[in-house]
Amino acid sequence: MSKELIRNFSIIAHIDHGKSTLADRILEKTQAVEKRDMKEQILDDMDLERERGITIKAHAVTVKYQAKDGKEYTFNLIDTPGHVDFSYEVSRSLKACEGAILVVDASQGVEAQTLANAYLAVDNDLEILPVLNKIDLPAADPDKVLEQIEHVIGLDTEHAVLVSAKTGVGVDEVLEKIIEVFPPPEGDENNPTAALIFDSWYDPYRGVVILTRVFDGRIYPKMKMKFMATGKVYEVDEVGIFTPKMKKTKELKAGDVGYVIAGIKNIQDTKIGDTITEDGKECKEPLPGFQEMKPVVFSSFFPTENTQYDDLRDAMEKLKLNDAAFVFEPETSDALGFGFRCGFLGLLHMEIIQERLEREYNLDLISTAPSVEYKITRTNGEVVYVSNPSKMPEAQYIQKIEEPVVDATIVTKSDFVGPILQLCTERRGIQKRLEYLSQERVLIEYELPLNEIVIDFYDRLKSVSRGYASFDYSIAGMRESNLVKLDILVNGEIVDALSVIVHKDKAYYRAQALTRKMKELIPRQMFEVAIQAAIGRRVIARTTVKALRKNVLAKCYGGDITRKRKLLEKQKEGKKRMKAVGKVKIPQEAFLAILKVNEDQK
Amino acid sequence: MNDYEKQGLYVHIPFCKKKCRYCSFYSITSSFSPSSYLDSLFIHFCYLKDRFSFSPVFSTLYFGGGTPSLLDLNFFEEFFVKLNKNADISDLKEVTLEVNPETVNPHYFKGLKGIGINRISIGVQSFDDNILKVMGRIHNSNTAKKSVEQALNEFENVSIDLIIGVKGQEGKRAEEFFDFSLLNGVKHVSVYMLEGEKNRGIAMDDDITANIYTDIVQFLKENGFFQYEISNFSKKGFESKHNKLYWHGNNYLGIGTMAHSFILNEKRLNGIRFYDNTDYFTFINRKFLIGEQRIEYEDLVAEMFMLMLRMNAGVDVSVFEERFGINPIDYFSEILNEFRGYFIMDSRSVRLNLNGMLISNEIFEKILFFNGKIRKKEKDG
Repeated sequence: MSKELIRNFSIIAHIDHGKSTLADRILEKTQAVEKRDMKEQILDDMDLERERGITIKAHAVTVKYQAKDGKEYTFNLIDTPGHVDFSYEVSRSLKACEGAILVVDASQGVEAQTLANAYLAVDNDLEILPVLNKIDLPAADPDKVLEQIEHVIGLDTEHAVLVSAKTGVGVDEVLEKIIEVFPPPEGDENNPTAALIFDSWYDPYRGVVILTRVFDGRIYPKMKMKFMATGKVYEVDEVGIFTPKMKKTKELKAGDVGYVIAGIKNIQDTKIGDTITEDGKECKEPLPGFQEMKPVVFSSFFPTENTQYDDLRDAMEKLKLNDAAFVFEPETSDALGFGFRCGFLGLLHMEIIQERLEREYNLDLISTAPSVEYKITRTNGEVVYVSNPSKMPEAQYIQKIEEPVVDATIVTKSDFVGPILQLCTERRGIQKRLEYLSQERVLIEYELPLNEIVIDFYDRLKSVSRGYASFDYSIAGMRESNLVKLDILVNGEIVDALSVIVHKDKAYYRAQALTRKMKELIPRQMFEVAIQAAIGRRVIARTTVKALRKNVLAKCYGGDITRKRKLLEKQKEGKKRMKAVGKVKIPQEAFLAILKVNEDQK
Repeated sequence: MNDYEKQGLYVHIPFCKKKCRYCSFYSITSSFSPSSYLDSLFIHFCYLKDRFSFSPVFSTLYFGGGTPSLLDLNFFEEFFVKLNKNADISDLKEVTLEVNPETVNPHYFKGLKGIGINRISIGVQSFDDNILKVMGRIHNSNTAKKSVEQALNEFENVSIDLIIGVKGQEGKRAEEFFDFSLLNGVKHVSVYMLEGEKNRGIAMDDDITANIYTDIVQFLKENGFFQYEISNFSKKGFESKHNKLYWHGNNYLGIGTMAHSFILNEKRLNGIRFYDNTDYFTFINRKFLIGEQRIEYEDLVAEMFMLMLRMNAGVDVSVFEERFGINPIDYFSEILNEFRGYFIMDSRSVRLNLNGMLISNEIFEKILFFNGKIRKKEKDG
């Protein structure tokens, strides 16, 4: 088959703008899937993905399209993850394409993720086909949205298509435009092999399945392939495409998108962004853009019951099999005992892992407040990276601390600009751009410390904008800051798992809010519990949980005894979900108190 | 007969004019038929008696609700006729009827006395109109007071129920919860602390409730009412015989919808609790759904210890040992030690002090789920 008849493309969009629905329609129109077999959003196959409406893993489907010019084309549709946490994976998926369909909701217009995704596509030199979705909605205003796409993103909208993925209107035109707008792949199958890994996962029966785009040369069974970043060599067992079911093929050659199976047991060997070449007949240089995936958000997980430690480790090992970006190492906390320090690509990634551990593996976890990795220069000049507040060197040994910052993009209604600017200022942001997209829509760009983002920024943004703000960010580097470690003491003992790093100017306020919240969250016990917040040895805030005075069932006659039994059982179960720190029982939520501190109570 | 061989009969009357906000008992407020209910009660009685081989000899009888005083006198007349046919009540010592102040009058009390009721328990709840409103009661303080006076004209043994811990009672002194003119005649007072957990909206701060409770215990003592259980106070000799059966682990049979029963097998040292799970309409169609819970030895010991600790008399070690074959002070020593400031204890008895009563759920939780391994001793005979 001629490369002229191949089109490799992605669909990119802001969440809920209809990316998956459009993908479903394309699959339907190309008869990859019978209409009666259609599950809603067929590409999202993991429960959690479906539930949250977010794509976590990349997918690729190969379909045939009978075009109006009488020729049969092969479309490789690559579905990208839909969240900022996975932006490196998104960029690698885009790298595998020549074009991207940019779906924009015709009633909502350009949102933060629209911008972020469009810029990623531009960075990867893709042709972009704007598609305005949901034109069936009464509130749709295509002209205005086209104007925004031209003006804000700077894209030519000459080929833009108006569709309703829901009703199917315009989808045929999209299929034709794909052929017209997106170029066919280049490359030569006779060159040495160069193929990009843009995703991989572990299949318990077949080992690691690699998703790849071949740029030059070929991949075929029995071939000795080599991963250029890791240097590992494997013999290929099988190659094929997704239709969307896995279908074996003879080979994958330049321009193709498909899967490779080679009996690989360890997903760490198949790094996303790495280049596959042929052992002994290597391509000159790897495809550009490879990076090690580095965790940016950290949290510690402890089992509520110490006896679950081994179960927790086993469960995390299993998750890691399929998630090269998730890292963890054993950690011992004075307060919480044995657990693990874990690193994630972002907050969503963290939540997903935590949810899977609790749901799929039935574990009761205590997690500590999310933190970021600080670069610390000691007074002796030595540089260390610290992602766990409790491991922070004492203040007198620190020459300077640098923290990661992000470039944040927010799109909102003009009514909410004031409160959002205030929030960003409170969070130590530096304004970079403020632009009216239209009379009522505003684009705001800020540089913000990541540690301010991981502490409930998104929830606060939603609340100050009443949900009318979209948000995206990318890591932008390190910035020196005046940061201190805030310790929390419960009955005089530092609870290491509760320590947080905060900006010095905000330490007092944070300490007040945090101790107040802890007081709310820690139930009264048989004795008084003192909660203090301290910087170094200096206590800057204090509250007390008074001793329990009353817990009594007033009526206990014949019929009440069964009720009483149930009540006491519930009482006991409630305590089981708490962690004993010394004699004090602390509920799970208290370890995340900092996330629940409402800044309105200033 | 040993005291703990005495048995009680509880009759649930699930009718109310209106549901009160804080009440967790089962009741319905419309379309009820007392005569059908009465028939079903005795079918239920015979069914339970046969199924659980309960010997129908009773020394106390208690009509609870709901609102038993919504029923006409002839309901109770017929009830006794039927009861006489089905049970041995020759030794019946105490017959209590719960009444709502709104539903009674002098004639009614006279009638009740004539039928054989000898104890009246009046759901006064409060002598403060604002508080009564907050709780959603149908009567006012004036009606409450009048009903107590009317009851006292006919009955020697009159009890009143009060609720404390309702929002709006902050800062009140103990005497403000009572009507002084009635304290002389009344023989028994129950003071219930509203459960904060379940009644978030109307419950007062726990600490304040605990303080008021402590004051009330003292106040009642000064006025001749002695505390004999967490929520119960009486003049000498007027403790509720029926209610004490519950805390002593005596047998009781409960008839009516949602009524609970308990039988202790003294010989095999286990117990069985059974309860009706049918709503009113199913019940009058004579279909019963019985829930059953067996209480094995270890749980029985824990439950009995817990129930007895509700009483000021506490647990008599030798009696407990005789009945259950174990010394509770030895067996529960770990818990008694952990909460030592809350107990009053010597080799013969163990009981809770007032602060212990106030936090008793913490202690009871430990007792109920205590896993000291014990072996059941088979009793002879």
